[in-house]
Amino acid sequence: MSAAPTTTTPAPAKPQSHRLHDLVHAEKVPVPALAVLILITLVMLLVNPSFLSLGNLSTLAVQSAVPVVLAVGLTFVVLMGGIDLSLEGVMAASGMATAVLLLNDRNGFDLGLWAVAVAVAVGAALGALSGFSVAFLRVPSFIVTIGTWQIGLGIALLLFAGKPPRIQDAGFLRLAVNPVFGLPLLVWTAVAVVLIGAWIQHYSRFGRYVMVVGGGEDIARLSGIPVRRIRVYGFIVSGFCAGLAGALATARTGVGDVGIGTGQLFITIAGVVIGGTVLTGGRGGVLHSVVGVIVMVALANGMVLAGVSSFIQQAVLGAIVVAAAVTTMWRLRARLRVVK
Amino acid sequence: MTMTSTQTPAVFGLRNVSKSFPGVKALKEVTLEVREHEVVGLIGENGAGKSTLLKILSGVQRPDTGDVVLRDQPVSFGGVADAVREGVAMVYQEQSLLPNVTVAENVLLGNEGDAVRGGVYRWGALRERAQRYLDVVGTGLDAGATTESLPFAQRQMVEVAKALASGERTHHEPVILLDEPTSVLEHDEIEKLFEIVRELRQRASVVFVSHRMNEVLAVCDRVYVMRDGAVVAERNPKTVAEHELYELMVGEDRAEGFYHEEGQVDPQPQTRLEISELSGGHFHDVSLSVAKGEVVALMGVQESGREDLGRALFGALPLRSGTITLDGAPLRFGMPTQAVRDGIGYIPSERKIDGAVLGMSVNDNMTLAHPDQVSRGPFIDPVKERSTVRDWLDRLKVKTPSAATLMRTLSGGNQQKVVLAKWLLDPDLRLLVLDTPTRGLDIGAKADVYRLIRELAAKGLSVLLIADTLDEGIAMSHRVITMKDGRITGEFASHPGNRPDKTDVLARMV
Amino acid sequence: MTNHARFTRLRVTAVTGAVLLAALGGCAAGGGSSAAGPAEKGTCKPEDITLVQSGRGLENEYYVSVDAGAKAFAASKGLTAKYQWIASDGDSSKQLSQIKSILANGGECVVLNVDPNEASIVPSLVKEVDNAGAWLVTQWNTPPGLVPGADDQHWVAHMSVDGVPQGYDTAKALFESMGGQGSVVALQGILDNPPAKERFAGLQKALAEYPGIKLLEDQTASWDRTKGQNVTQSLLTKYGDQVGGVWAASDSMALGALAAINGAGKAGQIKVSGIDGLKEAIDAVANPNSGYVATTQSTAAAQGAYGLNIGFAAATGQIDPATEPANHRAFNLKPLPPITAANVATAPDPTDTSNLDFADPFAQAGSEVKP
Repeated sequence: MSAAPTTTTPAPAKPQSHRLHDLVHAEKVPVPALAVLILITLVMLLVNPSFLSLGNLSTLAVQSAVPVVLAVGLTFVVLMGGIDLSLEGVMAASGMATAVLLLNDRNGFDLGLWAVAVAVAVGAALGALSGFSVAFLRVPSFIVTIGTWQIGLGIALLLFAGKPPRIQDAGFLRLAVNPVFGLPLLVWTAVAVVLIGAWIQHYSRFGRYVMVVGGGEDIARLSGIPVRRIRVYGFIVSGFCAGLAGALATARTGVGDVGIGTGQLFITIAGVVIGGTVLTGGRGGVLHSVVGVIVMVALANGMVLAGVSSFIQQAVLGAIVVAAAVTTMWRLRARLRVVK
Repeated sequence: MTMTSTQTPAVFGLRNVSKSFPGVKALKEVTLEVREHEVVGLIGENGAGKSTLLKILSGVQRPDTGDVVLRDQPVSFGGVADAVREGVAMVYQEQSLLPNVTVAENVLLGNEGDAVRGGVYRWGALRERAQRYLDVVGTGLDAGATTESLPFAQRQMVEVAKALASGERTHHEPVILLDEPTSVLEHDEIEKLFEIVRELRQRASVVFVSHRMNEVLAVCDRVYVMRDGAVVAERNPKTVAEHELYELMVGEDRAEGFYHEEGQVDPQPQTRLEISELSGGHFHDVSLSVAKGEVVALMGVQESGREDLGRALFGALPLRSGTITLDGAPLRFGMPTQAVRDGIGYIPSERKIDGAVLGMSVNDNMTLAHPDQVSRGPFIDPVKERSTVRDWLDRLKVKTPSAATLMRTLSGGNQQKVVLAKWLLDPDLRLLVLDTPTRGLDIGAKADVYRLIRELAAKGLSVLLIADTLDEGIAMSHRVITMKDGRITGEFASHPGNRPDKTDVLARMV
Repeated sequence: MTNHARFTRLRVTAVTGAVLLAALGGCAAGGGSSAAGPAEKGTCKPEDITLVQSGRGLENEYYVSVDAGAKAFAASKGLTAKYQWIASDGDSSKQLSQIKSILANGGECVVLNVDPNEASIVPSLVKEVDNAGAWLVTQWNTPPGLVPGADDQHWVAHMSVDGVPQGYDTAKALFESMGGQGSVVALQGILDNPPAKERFAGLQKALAEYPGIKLLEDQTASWDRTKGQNVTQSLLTKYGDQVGGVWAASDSMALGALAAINGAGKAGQIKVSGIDGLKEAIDAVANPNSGYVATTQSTAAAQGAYGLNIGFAAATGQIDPATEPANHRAFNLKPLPPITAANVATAPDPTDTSNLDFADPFAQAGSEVKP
């Protein structure tokens, strides 16, 4: 066979719109999750149109704020193939810390928003603990984060000391209630977290390397990427977000509560999975997880509005999660095999 | 290009390097060098030490004694990252690209330079930089595409671009190591690769390792021959005879007896396998028959449908229509378990994924499909198992410290032999479907496999051979059937001394 | 069928058979016979007694109060140093093993006041206590049909709180505050918990007496504050201005509802009632602008203190369980009036143990709990 003369014409220069094309392309957009969300909306339009009323949409936004913040942090851990089960414990510790450091009915502290900074630091510290154990001690994340979960609860219990601290800092409580451009500051905080999270994922070295580690840890290591360090950072981000979420949730209830995080783990993980951030890592992202979480919150809200019997709501939620997860993974089934 | 032995300076090489592993002396005092702007070929059987040598060149392993020499200085690589930093980059046999990120990120992984400033990605700059390397390697490669959306052959080219990019980290010219780059490519892709290698020669030094003699001869400036851990010869591929290289590699004259053509026995008259208008996967309306004791070679390029046909016969691919008859009885399967029960065996091309369980021992792999052969009653008889396994290991000359060794520590060729033995354990085996069974095997292993196929065919086993090369298919079979675009396009009878012409067969394939 | 196939089938059958045999064999080795000890009165000296209180965990205010009541009793007998609180954290097997090890150490002068995590572990608890010769009082949960009977020497008593009057009283107070007219929504506890069912039954009893009040919908909020808040928000969206009141089966959920109401800008307009007597709820009732109209008095301290009291009395021989009447063996605490604006000023703090009278162990024994 004769060799044709080599012609290496460079590919035409891609315009800036290429970036937009990339973001919209197949896996960049969580199609199954959006489809489910649209389906829910259509069903609710028939069953109880007040689902789409401004008041309810505002309710949805407020109820989504906390799990959305959790999901953004968790996404970075899941993208690397790990899991963070400590969310509820971290929320408990940070929420309780917030409550005892703000103006409250139990002690003399009055730190204002610095209390949130402390809460977030507590979360990040717990995240660092998880991260080090996973990355350097090589303990599976599933096990480590169950441990940090209990540590978080323990810290909260210590701070609780038998009597729930009630927050008296009116300005802080207004965070959760007073509308700024129609929605409470709580919601805007969550929006900011999402935007920052998405930016980190697409434009920062940390974010891209998280994807790389998730796509092939061995390859990453061979290319000189500090895999262990990236792992630790991932858990710190997750802890940071959980800490923030704890503070935000405490703003909503107005009291330090060890059980503040109860049930959030299910919603967040289910949301992450439904959104398309696969638990094996390397796929999906912040925006995916956010859509997934909104689906979960919309479902719970929709069922109440539709008058679905209390007895079956939990089962319905569970069944939908399974169905959505299967749908999401189905598209990836073929790709999960190594092919020529 | 004539040999310019002492004129161009040596860039990279080994000096008296030895390396041992428990029980095996993998490299014995090896000295070789790669010069500026040249392509050096490395051939030898598996077990000759090529992979160990490559591992040392690329920084994965360190030599026990001797030096790795880079630009006249002895160097010690602490790991692959070190080697890459010094400008030595390897393109791996099994793909080392991340499927879920963009091509640009893969090409410049860990090497983004100022396309990433202060931890922030400048996508335009990154894509542009990667595109430059991609353009050297080939046309139509898009730095912005998601890597897994690329077809396999293009991904191979991205790997080369990646090696080129990492090689150019230093101010000196890079050294690029190619480890069996063509073993998974088809004809036209291989030609393209040769062009790339010739391009690369202008700005790098290349080490080219391949089992395929013709490729090494086609593209290299110099060739080193290895045998049993030592470099036994250095030759000029333009002037040396293939025959001589074979001898050097195996230490004996194997050329003629390679395919054991004297062992070819006429098939028996009874028809064993009858396929009628079969459709499924990539193939349509295929009708053919195989006699008892006949070896039929299926030839075709990518997408010809031959691999799918093989899988379908084994029940690993669903069928749309048509019938299959085995020894007169019609078959209806959906599952390989049924095929196994009916006496059909299958050796897939993706050995590591579909054929062998790397985490299990040699012993367990071998008895996987037919545990009944080493059992007494409902339990496995350890004595029977040990002797059966040992028997087969000897018969196939599998090099392994023991039967309890983990499969993943064996060389590719030996793994394939164990996979073969797995099916051969069954005395009721009637049809064996082999999908490029000798791909990646060294000369010695290939010869052993060919000999075995001959013996089994002589005893009445029917073989459907999806052949690796034209030579193999033509020499090994009683009939050659060509497929193209999912249909049968030709059939040639094939006897020792009266083999069909390679060009005729090729013409039906492409 | 080929040899291969026949072989496989034989092997599968053999292995399955072996596994089944093993399983059945395992089942046959069942529990041992229960030691039916002689009907003897307790003979422990007060200073030898160990007091143990078992509950879920101190992150819950209810148990904090239980602990306070229990400690008060211990102090009254000079046994503060010999008082222990153990947390089960909602784990039944953990609770059982904790109790087993205490019995192993302490012997027959251990007095246990246990809030079993699940009703199903009560028979095991009773067996352990019988074997050790120690003394047990259970709270809240017992399997249907099982109460301390004439044969139970060491299972001294079972104590519970009747949820029906609680649900009824608070509902009534809620309806009165609405002027007997309007619509309400209800927040239930975890649906299969007996207190949830009893309290809801109380609500329905009250509804029957107030024809002007309509129940729009009931949803579960699982005893959780945040869930109470979320569900209330959704219900407010659904029914808008129709909602005049929210009845909740617990203060935790009611406080969540209150936050939702405040968030909707309807503080004071929509009335709320809860149950359990949490301090925060009492304070809300005391605030005339909050809209929180009723809760119940906390029974936690009483349950902690009297549970140990009764056990102590049996251990020292002061009472003989076999001779006590049925309504001393299994009873609900005497119902207490709900806390409303009218009496909130004098409502006791949940951790207040000052009016516990330890002279009579059965001072608070009310109606009998029928098996």
